[in-house]
Amino acid sequence: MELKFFDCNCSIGRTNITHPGSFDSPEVLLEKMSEYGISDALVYHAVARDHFPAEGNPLIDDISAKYENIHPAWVILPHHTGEFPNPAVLVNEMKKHNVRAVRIFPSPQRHNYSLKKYSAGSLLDMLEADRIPLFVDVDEIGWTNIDALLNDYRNLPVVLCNTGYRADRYIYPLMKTYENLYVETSRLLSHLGIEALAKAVGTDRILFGTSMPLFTGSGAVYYIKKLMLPEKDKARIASGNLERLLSEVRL
Amino acid sequence: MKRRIIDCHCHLGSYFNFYVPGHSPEDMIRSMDNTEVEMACISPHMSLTSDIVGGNAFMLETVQNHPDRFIGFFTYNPHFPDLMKTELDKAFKIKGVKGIKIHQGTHGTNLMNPSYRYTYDFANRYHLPILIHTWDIQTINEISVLSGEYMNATFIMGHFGAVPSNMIKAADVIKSRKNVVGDTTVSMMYEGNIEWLVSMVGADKVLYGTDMPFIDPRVCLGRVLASALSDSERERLLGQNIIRILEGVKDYEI
Repeated sequence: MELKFFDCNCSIGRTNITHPGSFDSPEVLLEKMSEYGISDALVYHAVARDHFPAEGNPLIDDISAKYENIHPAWVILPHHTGEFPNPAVLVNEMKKHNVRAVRIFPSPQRHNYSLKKYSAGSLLDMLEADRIPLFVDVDEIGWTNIDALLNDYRNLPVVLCNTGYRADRYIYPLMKTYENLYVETSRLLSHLGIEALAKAVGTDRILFGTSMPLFTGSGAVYYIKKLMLPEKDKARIASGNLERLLSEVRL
Repeated sequence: MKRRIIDCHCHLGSYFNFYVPGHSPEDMIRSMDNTEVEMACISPHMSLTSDIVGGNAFMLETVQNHPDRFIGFFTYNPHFPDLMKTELDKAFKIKGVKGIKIHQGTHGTNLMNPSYRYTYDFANRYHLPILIHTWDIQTINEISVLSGEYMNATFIMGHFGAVPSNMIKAADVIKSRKNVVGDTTVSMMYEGNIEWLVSMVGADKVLYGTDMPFIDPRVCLGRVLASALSDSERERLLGQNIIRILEGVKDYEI
């Protein structure tokens, strides 16, 4: 049976640094997805990451309205400064635009805020209440903060992206401790590491991702196809787990 | 003609800084069988990080146990020049040892360390490939100089400079020297990177390498298999280039 691939870690839009071979338009993304056999992608806009979330999120709404297999993920901020909607308004806006996943970039180099309760508490409470999956890169949050986040919001699904190949000594104990932790595959690259992780914690919390347009989409797909796991486990990783997470959102 | 895939840049064994789930020779063979990789060039992690003799001994044992799957690359540590002379002699008496590995980064030095001259001379005499950890501009510049002095050795720029800005500089050196090539071994596997490297230096100058088991090789192989290269270019990159280099190695004079 042909595997269905649903990419959980993808962005689109112009950035200020480009790499040869990369791309920024949704049309090229769709071409690449078709070429690599990826049917759907959860996508946030680069402008929301690199410039300002409130200006970038509408751009991904426009794209997802045009292309049915591009599903929007919003980049969010705490509301205290007044530059971003408060959680009650935000959740209504998300509902209106059918946004079922969010992403954060809290590091000092990016959006530069605290995830502690005084800052992000009400925002994270809202996400947890509605079971809206929160996607975050390891470099954006750090291992100490991820532990605190998972512990404080036990019903909030957190998808850790771009973990790198040196992360297993953190990932294993965190996944064994917290049922609400999920990991994305594009840079989960220790040798035979997905097979080993599956043996330790199962395959229900491993999600296929590419990190396109920066990193290779074709390699990410081939990686999952060539996993030495039963087909039903590969199907969960390739798309089933993300579809389940999105279906559990209570918006 | 059957495709031949030879991984020119592999290691072996466990590692201090992170968990390597599949680190044994048998794990690597399982991985290679899964992706139809015929052979892998190996230098154990131990020889890069700690015991140079123990690490090279692990390489020799593995090559002798699996001569049809592994090609030995002897790791040279310049901090032990006298020891390295005897160890080199011991290693190259084994038929499956075909190259030199230099990791000046983990050995805390640079390629101009005078102690390396012995191994450059050795590689030049026997037309050996020298796989060098090539992560920065200094190393690229040093390879540019050394490859002009040791014309019979083949300098493999492992990691091709690692990031696009360095890859452009590495490509300049690869294009200007007949005996310099680069490999595909990177952890940051950029979209379109394979086609870009080949467009800069030609398919004869790019070798397939992955860092297995430091990094899982499947993502790298997938991006090569799906790349917009011609079949001929892909075959050269995946295996024929390193085969050509290894076929040029001269027998060691015992």
